[in-house]
Formats: sequence, C-alpha cells, structure tokens
Amino acid sequence: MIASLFWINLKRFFKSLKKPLELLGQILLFFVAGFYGFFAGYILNEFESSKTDKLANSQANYFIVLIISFVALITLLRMFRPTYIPQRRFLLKYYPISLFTRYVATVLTDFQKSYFFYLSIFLLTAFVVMKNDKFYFLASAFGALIGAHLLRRLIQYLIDFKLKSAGILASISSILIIFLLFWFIENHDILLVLAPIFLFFAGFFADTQIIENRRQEVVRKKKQTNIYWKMLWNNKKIRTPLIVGFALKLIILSVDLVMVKLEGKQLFDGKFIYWLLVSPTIIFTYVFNNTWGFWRSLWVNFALQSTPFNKIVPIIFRALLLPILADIIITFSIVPFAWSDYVFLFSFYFTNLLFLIAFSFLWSVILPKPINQVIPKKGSTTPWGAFASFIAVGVLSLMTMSDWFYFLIPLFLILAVIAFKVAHDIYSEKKYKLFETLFKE
Amino acid sequence: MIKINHLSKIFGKTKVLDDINLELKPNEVYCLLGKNGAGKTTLISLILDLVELTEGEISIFDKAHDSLSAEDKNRIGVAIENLALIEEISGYDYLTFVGKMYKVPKAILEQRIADLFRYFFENESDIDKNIGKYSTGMKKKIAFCAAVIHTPDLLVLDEPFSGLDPLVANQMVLFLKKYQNEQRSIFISSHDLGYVQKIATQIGVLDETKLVYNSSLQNFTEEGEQALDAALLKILHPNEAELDKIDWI
Repeated sequence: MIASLFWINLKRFFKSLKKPLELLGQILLFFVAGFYGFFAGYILNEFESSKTDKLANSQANYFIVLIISFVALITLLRMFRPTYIPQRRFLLKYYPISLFTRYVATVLTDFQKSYFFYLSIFLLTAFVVMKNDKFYFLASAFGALIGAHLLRRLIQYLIDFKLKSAGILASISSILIIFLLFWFIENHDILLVLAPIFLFFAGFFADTQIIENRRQEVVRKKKQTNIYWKMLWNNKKIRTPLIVGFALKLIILSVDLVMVKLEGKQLFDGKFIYWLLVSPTIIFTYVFNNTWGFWRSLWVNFALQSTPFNKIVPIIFRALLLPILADIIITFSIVPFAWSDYVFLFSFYFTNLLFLIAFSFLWSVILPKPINQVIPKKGSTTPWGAFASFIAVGVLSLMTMSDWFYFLIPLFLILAVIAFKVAHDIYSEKKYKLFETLFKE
Repeated sequence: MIKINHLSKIFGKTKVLDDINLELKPNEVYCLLGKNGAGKTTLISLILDLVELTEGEISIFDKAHDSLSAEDKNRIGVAIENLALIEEISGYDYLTFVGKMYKVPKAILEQRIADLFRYFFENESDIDKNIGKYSTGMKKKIAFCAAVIHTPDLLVLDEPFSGLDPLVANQMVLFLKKYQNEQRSIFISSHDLGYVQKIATQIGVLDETKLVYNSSLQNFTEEGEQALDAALLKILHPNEAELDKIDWI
C-alpha cells in the first residue's frame, strides 16, 4: 500500500514536470537546495579549519544548532498551509485496514512531499561537504525534521478533527511535554532521537480518538490563483524579455565567478558593465519603466474606476515582486563568491533597486510606449529611462573607488522619493495622454 | 444621470465632435447610432473621462464627470470594446478582480459570477480559461458580465451586441430589460438596430461630428409607423448615387 502511495506521488510529480514552468521551478529548487547545502557545509568547514581555536569551534556548533532550529521551525510553520488529502481517495482497494496501518501509511506518505525532498537535498549536500561531525549533524538534522513534522501533525489533529476529550488532553499534554523538555533539558541530542518516537505514538493515540470525519477537506479549490504571477507568465511580451534577460545575467555572472576563481580576475575588470549586470536594471529597462505599455488593460480598469495613484502603486509593486525576487536570487547566489565586499554589494544593489522602482513609476506615467510586438524594434521602454538607469548604476559603482562615495546613497534615496512624489502628483493630469498613447490604433 | 452641454472634441487639427448636447435620465435607455468613425466611441471615452474634453461640459450624477468620487464611479458599469479585458487571466479571475475593485462582498460576488456564467456561457469550464483564449463573442460576454457585476446605476456599453450570435444577443437584451429600473439608466452605442429597437427609449444619431437626432424612440419611428433602419437611413443619407456609377458589377 505504501508502495502504491509512493507510486501515485511519483506519477503526480512527473506529470507536473510536463508543464515547463513546473519543470523550471523544480530544477531551480533542486539547485538552490544543493547550493545552500554546499554553502552551509563550506561555512562549517571554515569555522572548524582551526581546531585549536575554541571560538571557531563554538561558532561551528552554534551554526549547526542554527541550521537544525531553522529546519524544525520552517517544518512547524508549514501547519499554516495544510495539505491534507484523504489517502482513502486513492487507495480504496486496500480498505478496510487497521488503524495502525493507516496511521503508518499516512505518516510515511507525508514524507513523500517535495518539501522533504528539497530539504533532504540541502542536508545531504551539507553532509557531503562537511569534514567534521558530519554524522552527528545529519542525525540531528533529520531528527529535528521528523520530530517537527510529527509535532505539526499533532497540532493539526486538534485543528482539523473533532477528538474525544482524552484525545484532546493527550495531544495538548504531549505538545506541552515536548516544549518543556526542550526548554529545560540541556542535552538536546537525546531529545532529537526520543521526541520523534514519542510524537509518533502520541499521534497514533490522537488518531484513534477521532469521533467525526474531518470537518473539512483542506485541499484548496484551485479556482483563483495568483493573478500577478499569471499576468507575468501569460504575457509573452513580458515573459520573453525577462527570461532572456535573466538567462544572460545568470550566464555572465557565472562566467565572472569562474574567471575570479581560476584567474583571480573580474569580468570587464569589474568596471561599469560588470556592475550594470549585477544591478537589477534589466527588469526596468526591459519592462517596468513602461508598466502600462505591457498592461494597458489593467490600467484602463484603474482609470475607469478613478483609482488614485497611491492605490495603484501596491498593485504594481506586487507584480514587480516576482521579477525582483528572481533577480535577487540570481545575483546573491553568485556575486558574493566573486566579490567579497558585502557592504558595498548590498548597498549598491538595494540603493539601485529603490531608485529604479521609484523612477519606474515616473517613466511609466510620463513616457509610455504602446507594445505591439514581443520584441519591439524601437525598444520596449523609454530610452530616457534606460539612459537614467545606466547613469545611476555608473555613478553608484563609484563607491568601489572610495568610501566617500557612500554619501551617494542618501542622495539616491532622496531622488527616489522625489521621483515617486512627482509621479503621484502628475498622474491624474497625465492619464489622458496615457490613454491616447496606449490605445493609439 | 448624464448631461452633456456644448461638447466638442478636437484631436490635433481634426474636429471629431462638435457642439453635442444630450441628456440621459433615470429609467431611460439611450442608444447612440451612427456610421463607423462618427465619433461614438470617442463620445463614450469622453463621458468616462478617459479622453480630455476640448470644450463643453459633462455631468454625471449632477457632478462634473472629471471630479467623481470613487463611490460615484462604483455606480457606473462599463463595457467599452474589449479595452478593459485582462487577457492573461481567467474569466473567473477577471470577474473576481473587477468585483473586488468595486467592493462587492465576497459571498455575493461568488453568487453573481456563478449566475452570470450559467446564463451567458454554455460551457462552465470556460470560466477557468484565460481570456486571451476566448472567442470574440466570449470576450464580449465576459466584458458585459464585468460591467454589471457590481449592479451599477449607470451602464455604458459600446457595441455590446457585435460579435454575438443571435441567441446570446437576445439573452443580453432580455437581461438588460430585466436590469433596467427607475433608478438605473443605460447608454449604448450600437449598429445592431434590431436589438436597439427592443430596448431603447431614446435615440441619438451622430453624423459628421454632430448629434443630428436626439429624441425618443417613438418620435424616431413616428410612433412605430416606420422601421428603425428606415428612419435612420432618412437621416444618414446613404451614398446611393455612387452605386449607379459602378458599371462593372
């Protein structure tokens, strides 16, 4: 029966890969999990490279505790996103079965979720890279992962089921016991082994105490999905330039990393063009300096309802969030390994980001362009916006030359506030021009 | 509901509309007729404050049309060609988006979406398809559903019947007849005289930048003595003389 469930999950997983977006997401997650596992292992090795250094050893232990706590915490937090699917729906031929068999089957199939797969990739990669205490780390981390999941299940029993009073009492007591033990007992190593066993049986007891079927099946009906994601992905005129831009950025930054590691030399000598690629400029010069050119229908809805500018801004920002996140992931997965001045890197990137976001509101209002092709011959955003973005990157990259240029950060932030204020003030006056430009036949 | 005084619109050096005067009162259905390019869509865009006036004034609910509050705008429903349709998302997502914009409570919104879809669409699974994949008729229907989802007092429809099959067009006429009441008004621009005749109470005819006719349907058809198309042709003067010059047909 467990094999059947595993097969069903596996088939569902491969079916999902037929969608290119899912496939891309899974590949990305796989590499991100592996990358962070490698990163964690590498840091632990660095801490432990000096055996005599007590401080380094305690830092290494602290870092291991941090990773284990993080694994336990995010597993517990998954309770806010319940994903219960009655197994009976898939396995009618095996029913009726004993309560214990059903419980074991549901617990085991819980672990056949992609969440556990990617977390295992992360932990196993760290385990392979680590040089010391690797088995201790692996056992503790998986103990924390399994324990946290079983604790989460127990809490969800209380939420999802109507239990007999003995079941409620036992579940609450078990949860409290676990928290108290971790609070008062210093040796967590034993607890990481004993707690999952205790929680497994506590969960089984709660399972026997159910007096009613589930109050509700908590699989969300997939009707309304994230419209911001759909507006990005289903719009070929936006999707294509962004994918091309991100792919180029990924390739060039990777080449730079290899060059730094092999030759100790930065691509483009670490000059202007290199920083142009590191900055999030691409999102704006390709799409968001002309937001309404790409989403003119969305804008008409706002115009018809006279939605004020300050209420439109959060909506644009939500649409912007996904490309920004993608850019941050690409940039900060690679550049920190090629450029060790993290203070500059963070200051440069995020100052640029705030500056470009604010100015994108302004360019979108004052210099809109109708977009009728996937790759317009005359560019998809205003050349003035692109020019200003390049200048901003160039000026901010001066911070690599002298710390004095850090004074540019407040200046850029002030300019960003001014740009936003101007966009806000002129929006109602410019909306007629927007309509005439965007809907020009 | 709508009052237009001495409205003119000039694009560049071209006068598109000249000295337009009309009024739409509650419980009226005003149908604007005219040739292609007569300025019907421009007039609607001006009423909706999407295009800037050159001269004159428009008032809606007794307020200047460019100073309406969000609450006032919530009382207006619009289907203007397919301009407002967000093609990247599904019909359901779009109606939910519009409903939320107009602050329709969630439970009521769900009910209205279900009812409208059952009435206008044969296949309920179309609700989850992206609007970009809809046919012209389906786009027209979803735009209409979005215009009425918040039950506005003033409904502005630009060519609502074009692209619809006769069955659905008739369904739309029946819907509009039921929708119409003493608190509500409908402003329609259309070429489909058959459907216009079934719902209009007032008729306006735009020709050569001017509103050349503006009165009740009864007056227009001389108390039903003549068909709507015949009455319209009397005003618009079709270019029949040119036909005689074409000798190769």
